[in-house]
Amino acid sequence: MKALVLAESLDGQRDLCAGARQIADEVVLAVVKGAPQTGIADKAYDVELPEGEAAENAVAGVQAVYDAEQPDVVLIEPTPRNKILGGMVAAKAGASVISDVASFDGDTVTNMYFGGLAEMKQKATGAKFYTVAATAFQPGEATGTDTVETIAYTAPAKALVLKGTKEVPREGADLTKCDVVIGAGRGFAEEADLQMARDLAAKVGGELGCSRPLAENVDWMPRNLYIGVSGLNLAPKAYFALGISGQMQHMVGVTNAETIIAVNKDQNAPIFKQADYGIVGDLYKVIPALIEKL
Amino acid sequence: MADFDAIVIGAGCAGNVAAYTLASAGKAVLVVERGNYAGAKNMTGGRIYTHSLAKVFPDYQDAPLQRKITHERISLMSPDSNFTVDYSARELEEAGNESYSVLRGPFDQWLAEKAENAGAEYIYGIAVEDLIIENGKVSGIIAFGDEITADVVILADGVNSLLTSKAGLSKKAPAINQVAVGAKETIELPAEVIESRFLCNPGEGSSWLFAGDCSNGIVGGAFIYANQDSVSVGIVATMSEVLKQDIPVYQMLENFKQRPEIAPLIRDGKTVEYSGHVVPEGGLHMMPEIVGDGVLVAGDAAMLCMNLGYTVRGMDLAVASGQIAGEAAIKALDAGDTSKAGLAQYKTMLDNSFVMRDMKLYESAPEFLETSPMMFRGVPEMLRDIMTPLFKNNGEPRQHVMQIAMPVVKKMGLFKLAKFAMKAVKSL
Amino acid sequence: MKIVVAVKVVADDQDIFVSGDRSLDYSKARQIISTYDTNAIEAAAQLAADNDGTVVAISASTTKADDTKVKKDILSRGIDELFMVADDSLETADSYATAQVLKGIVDANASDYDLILCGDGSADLYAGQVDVQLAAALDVPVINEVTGLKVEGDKVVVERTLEDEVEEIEVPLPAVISVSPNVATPRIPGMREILAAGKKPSSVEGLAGALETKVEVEDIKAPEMTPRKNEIFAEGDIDAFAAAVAEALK
Repeated sequence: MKALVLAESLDGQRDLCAGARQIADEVVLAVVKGAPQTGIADKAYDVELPEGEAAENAVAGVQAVYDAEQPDVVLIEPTPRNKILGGMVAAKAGASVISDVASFDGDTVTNMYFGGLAEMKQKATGAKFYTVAATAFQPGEATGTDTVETIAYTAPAKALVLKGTKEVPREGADLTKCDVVIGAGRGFAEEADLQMARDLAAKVGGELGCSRPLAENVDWMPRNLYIGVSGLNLAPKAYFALGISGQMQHMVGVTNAETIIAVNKDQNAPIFKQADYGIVGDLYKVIPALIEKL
Repeated sequence: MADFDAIVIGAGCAGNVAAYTLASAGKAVLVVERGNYAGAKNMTGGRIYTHSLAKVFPDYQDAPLQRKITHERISLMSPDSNFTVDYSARELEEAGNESYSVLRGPFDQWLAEKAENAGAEYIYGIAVEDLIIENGKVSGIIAFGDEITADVVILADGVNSLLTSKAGLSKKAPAINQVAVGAKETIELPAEVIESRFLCNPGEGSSWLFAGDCSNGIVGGAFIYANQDSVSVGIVATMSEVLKQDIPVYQMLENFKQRPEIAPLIRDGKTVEYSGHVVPEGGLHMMPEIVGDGVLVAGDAAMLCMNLGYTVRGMDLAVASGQIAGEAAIKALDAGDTSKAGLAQYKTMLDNSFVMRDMKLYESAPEFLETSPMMFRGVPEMLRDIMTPLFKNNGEPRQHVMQIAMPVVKKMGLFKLAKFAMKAVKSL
Repeated sequence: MKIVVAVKVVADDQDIFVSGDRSLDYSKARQIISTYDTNAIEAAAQLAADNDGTVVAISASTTKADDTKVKKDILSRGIDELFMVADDSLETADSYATAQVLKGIVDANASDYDLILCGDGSADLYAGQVDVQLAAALDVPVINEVTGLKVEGDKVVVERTLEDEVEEIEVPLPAVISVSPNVATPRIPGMREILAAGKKPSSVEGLAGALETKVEVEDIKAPEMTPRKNEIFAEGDIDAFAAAVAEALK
């Protein structure tokens, strides 16, 4: 079986090629915007993109790779650019891209429904195109040759014109890489009170995230720090749920945490059924005490 | 030319019926409800006496009513005993006399649909902030900078209505002893289980009111109503009293559910909803002015609610006041006079109906309940101290009923008890 | 200028419950506009208002979406007309199939469009592919993650926000553009807008022919919840709690 990997970032190229090895015998890599890494695929394609061109304009080059290689399955790193490049090739092949595949079972793949409330098992009836993250695969090594073929750039008939780019500093920590995450919920009466949660985070070497109401209803924290349905999906060593009721919509974001610790003043809150350790108490008293004792 | 003939604020029992009445007479009526659907912000124990509903909708049996109440139960609870009276009578099941347990979401939506089908327009999700008042006359509503005008505005916006005072209708802010705070849980159970536990036939149910220790001895009580697939369990207690003691109402509800007499009724049930609400309990004395220039007040907004201990009534009054408000508005619109004078017939019609007749009859009920603490602490214990010896057989010397009862009654105070009983039978 | 916005109507996930057998219970869930589509609708409405244009909404949803409240909600947000195709097979339809249906609506009712806007991804599937599929079917350019748009003649200049950089891209019209939620804050429709919505035109048709699906859904179930220790302490036992936490953090 042959897999074509369409990736952008260095990690993405390596992780998806390694993952592709687990489901295919032959792995081919295609990269637009920058040269592909070598030694991680049986063959790599450098799809040319002239300086200053929008990456999406290189779709003809990606299409050329697809046509030449005729892969059985296409694995796409889910970046916005690749969603367009890979999506265009899928559309031309009369296929749909199945997004954010979490696991493979032969031709049946699993991904999320309603942001994680449920899991969906699906099978592509035509050509197989998937966007997939490294976490869908077992950790493994990417192996390959140094073979690189260059595909010349062909401008599309209706090209996008890139007028400029600006670097933007990342807002907030990358919670997916943290061992300890603190989640703040509606139990916090005022924005200033979040400092308590930040202090606890500092004490335990963690970072702060939140439940949806804090990111969207009261805007106390940026949207990219919201944990749950259509937000972040985390698997930290420890997750602290502070003043969070434990609704499904939030908990699906931390279901893979090793340990869940909860603080809530309502003994009937659903969070306690989903916690390893919990304390029924006023978080304004518990958090300072916890900081002191840890 | 006003945008509408009438605007109704609130899509509860009173509002929907007022809108239906107006729309059925061909009037252009707009209903503005702050919840996302009719009933979203409403709560009842509860039970509705359907006599006034039947007058508006002959097909009222099609409404999503839960169970016909065929058992009236009242209990007096001491901390360690419970005395229950269970009353059932065929006459109470007859059309015109009957009542049903009800869940407000489905019920209010049915009423709203009736009104919409009759031609009323509905806006959901908008809370009316203020009224347009020109030369002292209410002529429309204001919400988020939008204004809509009407010849008459009917305030049916519930117990916490802020618009009544904005309309210039005298209204004393309710004293904390005139409102009660209620907490309720809806607990799902299979229909057959409900029928066996509450001793009812399929489709029938019970109303059960408790007083005494369930509200920690303060004015108020607990209730259990049987719905089709669930049971409504709750506590209601006068706010001023709640503040004087240290058990929060939600804790009272927890304690009540765990009592050995109550736990078996709800065992293995699944709580699907928690709700809380404020209940106007001041009765007649709490009522605001209900007619003004271009404005009428109906339902809970007019404080049309009665708690008599053995029964609680609000919805049948709301339905009737909504219909009467609608009819008064129609007459005023047809006569081209929606001033206070033109709308005054609302008050007259209401006075001539069971609504004000009953409100006046039970004028002293709230005061009686408030000034009779022994009803909640004292009488239940007294009953315990009489009933327990009757049923206790442990080989110890026994006594006749008279010898058991007299000391207990004397301890309460024979005269005090008699006075209490007299007052009770005259106020309730 | 003629703008089209694609809108999906879905069940409100706040009221979807998980049954004992881990299947989903939708019985208490009302139909709503998919969350991020409200941002796309607002962006479309503002663009039309700023450029003296018209804006229509198109939707491929289930028959439950043919609901007065939801349709009124869409029309109260600055939309002139709604064209809907409702069929239950659309509930879990893949992006290729959905795009074909949307293309059909566009060809029949708005073939002279200048711009089609889509949201980030739907609340249920969040595939983020309908924009690409629709653009491919219509043979027009497409760009995603757009957080700002400005019309300049026969082009739209967009601000496209990625994780580490922001691009300024000129898109020739006609085109499909999918917008991020940050592009516009959805309005809270006022009373007059809601009343006017009731009078705006809207049509709901069934599917003409079978749906061309490219993905087969085999199963939908809630995930198995990881079993937890459930060691719960009372407020007074803060010391024991802290000790357990410290142990877990090692």
